[in-house]
Amino acid sequence: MSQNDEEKKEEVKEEKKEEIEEKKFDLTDENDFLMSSSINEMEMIREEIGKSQPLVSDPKPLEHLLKEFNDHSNYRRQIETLITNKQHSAYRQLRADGNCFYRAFLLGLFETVEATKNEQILETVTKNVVTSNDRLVKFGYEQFALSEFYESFMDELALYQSILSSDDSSGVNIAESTAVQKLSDESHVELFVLCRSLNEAKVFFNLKKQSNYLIFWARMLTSLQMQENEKHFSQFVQGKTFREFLQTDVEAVHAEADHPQFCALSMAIEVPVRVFCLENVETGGPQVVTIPENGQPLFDLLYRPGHYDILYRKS
Amino acid sequence: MSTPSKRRLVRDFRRLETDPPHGITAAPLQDDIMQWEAIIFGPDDSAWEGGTFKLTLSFTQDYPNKAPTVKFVTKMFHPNIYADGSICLDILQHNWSPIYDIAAILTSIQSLLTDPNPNSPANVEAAKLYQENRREYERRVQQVVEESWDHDNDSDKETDDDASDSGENESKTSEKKDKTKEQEKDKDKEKEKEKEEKEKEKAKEDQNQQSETMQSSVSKD
Repeated sequence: MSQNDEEKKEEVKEEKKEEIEEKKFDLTDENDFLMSSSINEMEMIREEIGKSQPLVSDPKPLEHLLKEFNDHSNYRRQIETLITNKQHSAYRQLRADGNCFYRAFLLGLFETVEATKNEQILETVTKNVVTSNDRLVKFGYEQFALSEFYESFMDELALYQSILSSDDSSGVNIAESTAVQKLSDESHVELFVLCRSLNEAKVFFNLKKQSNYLIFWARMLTSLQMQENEKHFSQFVQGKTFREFLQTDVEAVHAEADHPQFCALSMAIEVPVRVFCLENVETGGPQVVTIPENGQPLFDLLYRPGHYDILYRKS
Repeated sequence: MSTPSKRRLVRDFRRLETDPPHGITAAPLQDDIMQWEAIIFGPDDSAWEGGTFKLTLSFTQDYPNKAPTVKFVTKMFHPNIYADGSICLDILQHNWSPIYDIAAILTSIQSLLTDPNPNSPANVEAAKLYQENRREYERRVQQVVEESWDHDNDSDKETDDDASDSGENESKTSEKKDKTKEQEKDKDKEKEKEKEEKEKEKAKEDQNQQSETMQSSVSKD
């Protein structure tokens, strides 16, 4: 008990200190927009891509996929199979910035929650996420470096919880726009129209940042799952230590995800997903994989080497 | 207005104050928390020993989602440090992660000093000497170490000529430097003692709960 009290006192103290310190630094806002002078090359390439491609596109008919693979008959054949199977109505293209898997996974998840209004999904995810911060701290991570990301993710889950538990159907509409906004680009005018309340205006101003926070927590959930099942996941690691693998291939902000990361995240929050894999093979395909194998997939993703997009099932 | 990046920087600062890594000091400029200055002391038992190397860290609103720009102000001679002071270090570039705080960044740079990666050279001459003529490499490093005392004591930007002209001054400054270094060491010792005591208490409270800290794993790698 006494320890608790002390902690509380410490918290109050810290808050006050923080307030004071923040006031002290208040004058600097205009400097914040100055970019650092030496942006490294990768950063420049990413920004170039950013200009030409939004983080999240509008849903497009599958026929558009064919255009992306004009000279690749192996891929075109598989896309045509997708079209003739008539299981899917559209796909949503995501920016190839190293975050596409995590962005696709989260957007797919939140959109599914909205569409199905299935509280069970949300409860399961929340149950797994709520303990994640403490579990990471046990692995030696610094609480202060994690909290902002963890809280963003929990806030997001709470937002959907509140929307699902109110019967107001307009609430669901708001949710729908929020998911796409948060994980999509900051195309200001359209989004401004969607911002119906002050609260949402706030969201709007934080868009790209918001999605970065959610995506980074998805990375940490992935890393945590791998560390808690090190024996299983370390078999996928080659040429570096397990710790190095986590640092360079999971927790680094632009690290692309591969099959092990996919499995880990899917297991971490108990969200089974089906993936349609376009591969450069002469016959057959697309290969369909459900992760984890025996799960009932909640939504579908489209994979091509090095990239993930979202596939929408026909309702 | 408080922003996530500023909130985080305040937390980074607090962490540095309560648990300062060995041989590192860092603080924001008085009127701008987005701009920091840091000093890394050359690791003991290395050619870098005794050096005081000044750096600047410049943060944007995207911190911690984006790495700060970190540069040495002190002239350096190192395979992975460019002529303008920029540093070639994976966690500052493609392997950046928001779990790294300022302490972790500076600790990594500190260990880069003694553990360079000559395969991705930013200073070709330094990389070549490091691989082919270690003795000459270390002589050049020690030169930089000695220069770092002058630079550090100069109020701001006096020319190198000034410093080397006054031989007397030089010995004085190095004496002074040694003193401040000793003080720094004493401080460190005290802190370590405190730390040890704290850790003992902790261990008593809960013997089972002990895990590697993030920081130690970062510095090891």
